[in-house]
Amino acid sequence: MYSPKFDTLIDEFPEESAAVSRLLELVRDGESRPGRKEYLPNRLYDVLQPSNYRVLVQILSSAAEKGLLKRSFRVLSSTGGGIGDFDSILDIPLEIYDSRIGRSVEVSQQEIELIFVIKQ
Amino acid sequence: MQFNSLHELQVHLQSIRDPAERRIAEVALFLTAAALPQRKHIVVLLHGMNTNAEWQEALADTIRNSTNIEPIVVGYGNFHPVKFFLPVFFRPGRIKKVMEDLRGIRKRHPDADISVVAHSFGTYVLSKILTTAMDLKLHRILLCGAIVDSDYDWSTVEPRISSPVINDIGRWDYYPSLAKSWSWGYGDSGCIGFQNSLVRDRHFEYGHSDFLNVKHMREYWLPYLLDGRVVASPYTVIREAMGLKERAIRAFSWFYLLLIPTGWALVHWVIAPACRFILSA
Repeated sequence: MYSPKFDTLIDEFPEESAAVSRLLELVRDGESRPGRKEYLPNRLYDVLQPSNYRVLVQILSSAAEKGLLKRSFRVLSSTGGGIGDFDSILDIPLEIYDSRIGRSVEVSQQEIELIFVIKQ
Repeated sequence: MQFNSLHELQVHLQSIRDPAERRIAEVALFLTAAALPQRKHIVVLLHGMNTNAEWQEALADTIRNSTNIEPIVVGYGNFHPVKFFLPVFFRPGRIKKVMEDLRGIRKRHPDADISVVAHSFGTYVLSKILTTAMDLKLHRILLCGAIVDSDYDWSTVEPRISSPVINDIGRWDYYPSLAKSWSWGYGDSGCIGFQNSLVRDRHFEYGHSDFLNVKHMREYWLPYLLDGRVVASPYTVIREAMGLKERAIRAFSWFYLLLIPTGWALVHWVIAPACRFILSA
């Protein structure tokens, strides 16, 4: 579904209007299919083709603020797979119970993954 | 950026006070490893008349300390207001001086993006350079307190710049109107804007030089210079209609002063003799 919030995003990043339009396509596509759509930032860089990574950060942050995307910080188990999603790095506990191995583990930066989710 | 522990990372993020900046920093952590090399970016700072342009040094310092952009201060000396109002004799020399400076920067940095921030008379100088120096390609252009004609033809300049141009307008800035009304060749785009699709007019509750402070630069200019991000000014949509004083300043000009002696001469030498002739006939 088209959202006027995309217009405000283009207003904010006029030089990146092509990248914002690609984001709109991606959101439309995600909304039209069943299931949760998750993207890693590097994948979004490939799809959106912004001028550089700096501006991608700005666009994604602004899109998340406007509610067009949801961003989550996922803590990964050492055996693979996520064991918890958080809205901010500040919300992640220093230790977390890893249900995949059955004990608490200390969380490090390497075990955190940033994902962007298309809201449905 | 890598941290030894999650606690260390969280302490770093907590040290960023602005929540919006913190959210950006959180995302940036996951992208910087793959960051691509960027083109060299130079920002030329061009001052207005009758000033030593302290703001240029302040902005240059802010840019130098918080970005990878290289600031270059360009000027044309202390341009006296009397020279400012005289149309022919003094302006071309200033324009030529800045044009040569810009060409020199381009020659020394052939692969760099060159952006310009100009204030007041600097905006006029820049507009003349863009019209005449067809070889000069610029990146981003930011104007404030502009005295360029609001009908300036940006479409002829568009292929040589990144659009949109930003035009910061001060609600209490009367100088552009005065410059337009009392001299030749200037415009009041610093009061009414360009109202052009290639330019983004932003309104602020400012006087002529109130833009030139570090807070405004950080909040509104750096996002544009760094990423082309246009931060909207809330005042743009809530500003008041033009007052009587502004209307009077804009309406009255040297043209009306010329009308007074012309009218007197017309009455004295044409209408009065004609009336006397008719009455005596």
